[in-house]
Amino acid sequence: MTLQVALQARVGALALDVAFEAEDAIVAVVGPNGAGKSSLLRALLGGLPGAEGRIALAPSEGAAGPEIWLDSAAGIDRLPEQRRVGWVPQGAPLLPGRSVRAQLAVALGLAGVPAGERAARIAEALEAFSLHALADRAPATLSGGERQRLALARAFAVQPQVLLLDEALSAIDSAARAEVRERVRDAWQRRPRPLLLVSHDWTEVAALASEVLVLEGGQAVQRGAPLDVATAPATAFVAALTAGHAEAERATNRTGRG
Amino acid sequence: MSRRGRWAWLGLALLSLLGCQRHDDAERELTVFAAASLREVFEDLAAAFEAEHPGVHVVVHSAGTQQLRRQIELGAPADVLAGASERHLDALHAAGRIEAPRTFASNALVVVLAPGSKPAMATFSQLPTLARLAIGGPDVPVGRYTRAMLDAAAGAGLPDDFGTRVLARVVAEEADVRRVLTRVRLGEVDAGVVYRTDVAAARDALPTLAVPDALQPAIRYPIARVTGGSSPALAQAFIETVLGEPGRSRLHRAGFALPPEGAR
Amino acid sequence: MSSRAAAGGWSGRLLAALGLALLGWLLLPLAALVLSTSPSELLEGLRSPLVWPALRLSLWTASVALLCIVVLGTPLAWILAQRGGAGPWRLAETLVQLPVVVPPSVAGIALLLAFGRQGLLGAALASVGVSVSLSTPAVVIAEVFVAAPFYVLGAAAAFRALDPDVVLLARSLGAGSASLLLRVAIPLAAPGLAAGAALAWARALGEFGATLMFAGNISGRTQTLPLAIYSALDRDLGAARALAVVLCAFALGLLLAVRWLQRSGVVAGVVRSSR
Repeated sequence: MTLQVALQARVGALALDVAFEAEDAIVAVVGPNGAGKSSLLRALLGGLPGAEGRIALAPSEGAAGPEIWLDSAAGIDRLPEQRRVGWVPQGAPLLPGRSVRAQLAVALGLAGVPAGERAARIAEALEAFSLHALADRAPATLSGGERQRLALARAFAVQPQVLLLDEALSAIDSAARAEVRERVRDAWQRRPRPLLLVSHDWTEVAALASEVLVLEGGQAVQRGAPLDVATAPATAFVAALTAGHAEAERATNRTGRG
Repeated sequence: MSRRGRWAWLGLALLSLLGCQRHDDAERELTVFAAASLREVFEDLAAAFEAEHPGVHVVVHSAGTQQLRRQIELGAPADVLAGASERHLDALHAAGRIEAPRTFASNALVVVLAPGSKPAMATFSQLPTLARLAIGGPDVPVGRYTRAMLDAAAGAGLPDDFGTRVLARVVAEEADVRRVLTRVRLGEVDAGVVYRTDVAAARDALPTLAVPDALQPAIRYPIARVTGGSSPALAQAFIETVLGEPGRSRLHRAGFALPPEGAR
Repeated sequence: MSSRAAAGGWSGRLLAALGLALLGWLLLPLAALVLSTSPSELLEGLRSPLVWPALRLSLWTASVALLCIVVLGTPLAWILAQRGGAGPWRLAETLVQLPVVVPPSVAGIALLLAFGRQGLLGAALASVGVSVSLSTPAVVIAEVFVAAPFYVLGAAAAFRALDPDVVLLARSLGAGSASLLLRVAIPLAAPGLAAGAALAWARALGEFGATLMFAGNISGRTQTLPLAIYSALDRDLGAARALAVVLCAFALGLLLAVRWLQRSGVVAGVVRSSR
């Protein structure tokens, strides 16, 4: 599937104006605070009032036509519940549900997953993000990192068409972060689909993303593979974000990682 | 708020406090508690009394007699009590709250029908066929008289269960007779039991049904000075006015029956 | 207020004195009510024939009223919370508060003019043989009228306090309007909704003026606890006092429940994402 985006929106003082396509790949969205990263995700979700332009989801084999989410010229604006997007918002807010397991069950219920399938999906999600030990914990007692793992499990469990991860690993302590990164990659590889990853952590970007989209002031200022972006940063922000990583990665690549 | 505005508010508040103080003009103000059914007659009498006693202001407070009794028991400042029930006034007298009551008028019950109601019911005996009735509460004089009337029905040729059937139709028990009348006037009930004089006092001519003489209870209005009132002399003068010619002519005009002159 | 103004000087003491004066003003009558009634007098008063029919009717009608309020008021509160900021719903939010500020006697007349036999709807109802005024349903109607705003406003505030990201998250998962409300918003706002419901129930239990005018005062049918107190005042002061103490205790219990719900709501219910 290909997510096709050509979007304009005003968010406060910011004029968001971005166009890009994302195939079944992990695309990192980086940029300074206030660049419009979260607003871009909200617009894709259908939760940004006043978004204009066109958002469509085209299937890989050209059998069926694209699914139009937004086409302001044609007056089309699908509701969030009709877009089937897996969103991990900042802060990983909780749904109702007295346990981690119940939280997942509520999410699957909202997604319309038949009751008979839910147990298997919950088990899969708990497994995918190593949540088995936490399955019966009260959500209010989870740490920030544990909550983010729950939010990731929830987003993947509903098997959405597109995944949007907003700083989804930021609260996980650095020791566990590499592990969770692998979990995200595994979960994505099981069902590849467009995944946008908003991040401030170049290590995370380099490890997960095959492409990087740099947003500054609401505009896309650079796009390319992480290595290329790190090698030839287009702006001072990118240079600072990637400082030191280009050399390290070249070294890693030479020693044979795919 | 501006500084001046604040002072203005404070001044207003103080003035309103002073306003509360203004009616302790000892011999100048007379408070008369009167049964609800006496309201118009006593307001008229009060005006006449004020005309004869310059500088005197008569305040007429009317309510159900049982409420007036309770207010006096709780120490409400009143000079004269005129009630629709000997029972309540006798109890107050026995408790030393009022002086010996004297009867000044009597009254009779009548069934009043909702405005525009077709007199499908031609006689009193068909009272239980109406859907909704209003009467006075059990402690309200008119309510007590109404129950006495219903109790008398069985002995006066009406069916034994007449009273029970009528009470089963009661959807409102009111705290004074005028509220019974209001329920009827608003059409909330089909009929109510009130005093003859209440219908006469109302400007709208509501249809009525006579209550058979055999069922009429004795409805007497006593009046007495309240013990410890602030204006005993004025109170006595007011009672004499009610018992004398000014009161008798007005009560008569309003439809009350009068005791023989000089009785009780 | 700065702590210096509160702590020292004659002005600080004056403020404290004024505040305490009002506190005494509020509490003295209630204290008098409780202190003037000994336990034996309370039991004696509770044996009055007025008491149990009124208590039963009050609990029953206030509960039915609360059911109506919650079933109809929750969707309204949700709509107000979602769009109350603008347009006709903003006006609606103001109008919902009218019964709170309208005097009870005005409510009584208004209800009579709407549902009375000669009223706006009453005439139509009467033509099919239904009279709501002066009946138990009238008690419920009056209670809904005066109590609903307390629930609707409390519920709308609870819904507004929800993290908007949770709402968007639930929608992105596929929740339509109904399941968003039923499966996400209501469970998350439950403590706030329960607090609003408790306040509304208390208000319904305490409703007096409109009920007296619109529903009448018949023991077992339309005489609720407050009306029984009013009637007992003419007849049996002991029963009136006992009933008043009972109602006062109910009110205090509900108030404590509301406080508890509001406090637990901060912990369990409305968890805002930490950003």
